[in-house]
Amino acid sequence: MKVKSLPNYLRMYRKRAGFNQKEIAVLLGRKCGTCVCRDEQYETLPHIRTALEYEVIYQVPVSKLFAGYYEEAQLNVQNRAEELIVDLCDSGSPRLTEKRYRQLNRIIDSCLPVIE
Amino acid sequence: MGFKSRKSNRVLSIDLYSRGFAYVVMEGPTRLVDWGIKSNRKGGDRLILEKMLKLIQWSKPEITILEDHHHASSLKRTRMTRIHQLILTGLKHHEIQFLTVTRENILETFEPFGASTKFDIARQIIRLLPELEDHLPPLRKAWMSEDPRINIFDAVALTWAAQSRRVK
Repeated sequence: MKVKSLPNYLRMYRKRAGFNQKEIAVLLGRKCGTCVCRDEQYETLPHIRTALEYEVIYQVPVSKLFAGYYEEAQLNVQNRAEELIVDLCDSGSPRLTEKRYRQLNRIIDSCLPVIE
Repeated sequence: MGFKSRKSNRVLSIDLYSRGFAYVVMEGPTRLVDWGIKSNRKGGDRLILEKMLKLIQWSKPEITILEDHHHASSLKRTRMTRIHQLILTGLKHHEIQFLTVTRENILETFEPFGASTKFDIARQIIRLLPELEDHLPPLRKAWMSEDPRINIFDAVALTWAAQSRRVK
């Protein structure tokens, strides 16, 4: 059984990189480390632009940095994909082409990212 | 090390020292999620418990590991044993799952690697967790007091000892 990931691993990657919060704030173009602390404590969810900047700083994909949120998003999309397949099959819609069907199944079967 | 990987478990290990505690959060034996020292110079003993609970809330561990201070092999003093008891009561009160590991268990875990002192154990740990290299204090001389950074390694040793005990 795999344990549920933490919402984010920002603190882990920051410590591994040897930076303090103030230095990360400078790299993010912020005035102080408070916002970095809030992100690390899961008090705030960073803006997509900030998330990408974190990716650039730590050289780790956003899906790994925010593993918990990613797993949640993946589960939600998987559930919706299952519903969409059922809906399209039930309605006998010609829109459910082979390509779409394959893509939806790929979403449903997709594995969670492997944590290094 | 010689024990099986238990990647699925997130554990928080806490090692108390006179002015606070050192902690590590691990997912499996070699994935360090967080580590550090929480000092408690100005607060009372209860503040240690508060900080610990905050850390537990943040790291969401499956289990919290502490040293068994009541065991004969423990090197901790009377005050630490009192704080330890306070913490155990607090953890029970908050229904947090915990496990205690004796100093003897730690020494047994590291015995095959020829590590018998805290410093030797820390050096063995660095071989698998190089991110902790910067935290290794210099070798303690008889007239020096213990550097709190060594407690981070003690906390890792607690995790590994607990895991090796569970694998056996």
